[in-house]
Amino acid sequence: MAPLLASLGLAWLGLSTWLTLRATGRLQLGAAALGGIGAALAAAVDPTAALLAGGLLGAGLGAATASLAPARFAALGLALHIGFASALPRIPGLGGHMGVRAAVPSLWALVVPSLLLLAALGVARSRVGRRFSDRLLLHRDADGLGAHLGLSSLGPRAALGALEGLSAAAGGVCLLASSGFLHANGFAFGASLDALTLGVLAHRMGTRAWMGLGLGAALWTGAESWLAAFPELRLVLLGLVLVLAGRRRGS
Amino acid sequence: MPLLLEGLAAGAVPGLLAFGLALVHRSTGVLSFAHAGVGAVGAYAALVLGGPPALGGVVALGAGALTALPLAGWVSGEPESRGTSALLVTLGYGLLLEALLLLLFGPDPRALLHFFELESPVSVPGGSVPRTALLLLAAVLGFALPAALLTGLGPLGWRLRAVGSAPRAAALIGVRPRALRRAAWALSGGAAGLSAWLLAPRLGLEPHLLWGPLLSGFVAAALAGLNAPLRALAVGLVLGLAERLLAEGAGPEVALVGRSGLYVVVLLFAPRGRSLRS
Repeated sequence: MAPLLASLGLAWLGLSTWLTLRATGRLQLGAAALGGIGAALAAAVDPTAALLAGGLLGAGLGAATASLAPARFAALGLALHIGFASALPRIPGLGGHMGVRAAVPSLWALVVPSLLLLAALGVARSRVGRRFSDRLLLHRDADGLGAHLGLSSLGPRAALGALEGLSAAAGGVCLLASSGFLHANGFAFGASLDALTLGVLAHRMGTRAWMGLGLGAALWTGAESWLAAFPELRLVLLGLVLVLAGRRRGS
Repeated sequence: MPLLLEGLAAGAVPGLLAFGLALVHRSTGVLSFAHAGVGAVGAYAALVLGGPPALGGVVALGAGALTALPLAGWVSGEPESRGTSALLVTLGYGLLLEALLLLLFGPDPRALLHFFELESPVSVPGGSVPRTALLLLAAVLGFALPAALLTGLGPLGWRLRAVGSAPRAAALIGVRPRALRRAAWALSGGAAGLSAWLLAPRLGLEPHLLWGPLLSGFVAAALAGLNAPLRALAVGLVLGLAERLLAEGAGPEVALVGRSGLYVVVLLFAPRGRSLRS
């Protein structure tokens, strides 16, 4: 069960990055931080509350960052990471100085976040969701045509942010359920890079989200036990993929 | 006076990094996430090459400059290649450099010594400050301030700005975008190398050394509008002073957590420079 949960957790985190890239063309560096906050809430309160809080937090952040340029948006993600890694171990009752410790029921983590996310993705594909999505594309493409037409992107951004937050929190909860422990620093710098790379790769390859993210997460998790013995190799792989993904359309 | 000096010294590294980030952004429109890796390579070069310790800073600066140069080719700075693609390239390059350092030197922090006992106190009006504070301020006055004045004001500053905002038009009137971009990346990488060399004796030299200070650099550069190297340097120094005052008043733990929260708020709501509008 643990490898399955770990794959699922990574795929949900990657989905958060993928959604941001696809809808706004910006790089989401804060997905794992949001996921970590979700995991912390799951440990402190209750897993369901953690998912809902993740969605609300994401909606708030999505609305607040609606007009941020890519550079500032990415820097904000980094700030969330470092803030999460420095603040979390100092909150009493969450596993001491290393991170979050909690036993989340495996079956719950496997089923509930998936159902919630599938329902949310279903809403996103509905008529209202499509209208929101079109509005976001108008803002992203055609030199920001949406802004020139005076259309607000606040509502769609908040909705997208809620989806991203829910997805990130689901990822955090699944990863917490897979091992019962989340290392604050390791999570901030390790899982976020994995998720970022996975999301970017799935988006750049133009595959269907479920295929790219699902297969990628399963393969990555499968290779993880081997890669754990060579942390440098893991970084080399991630770095190479990011450079190549950036250069593919950048040059 | 001691508190003021120590505060400004605490802002020296964020100021140096913010200067480099703003310089690159001014000439290419790109925010570099590679600086943590680039700076670490500079400091490791000083460790490996050894020699007279007084030259360590110069070695780190030079190695940082050389390490940043490939980015001038990979991130062209043309308007169509900015944004997410450029961010990915800089982030990936930084990770590759850190991985290389991990492979060569391992994850354990190394001791990098400077040429004098850093923590020994020096008398100043009103008390004393550690020598390290003076070294940090000397780096700002000796390198960052002249470089920021040169690249932020006057003809060179305007040329860099022209290359950043309209590279093709700049080339038509005789400005050389490639050379200027290379110079900006090199100076910026040098500032990162110098930053890592300055921090290493206190924190221990390891490949991820600069990620925390880089965040302060981002915030300072963002507050300065991202296109103003001189202003970014000044804001970095003021941020350091503010953090030092907060740590003095509320304790280091509160300052650490409060700082992260403050950075999130600043990045979300601080006034935006011209280039920051989407």
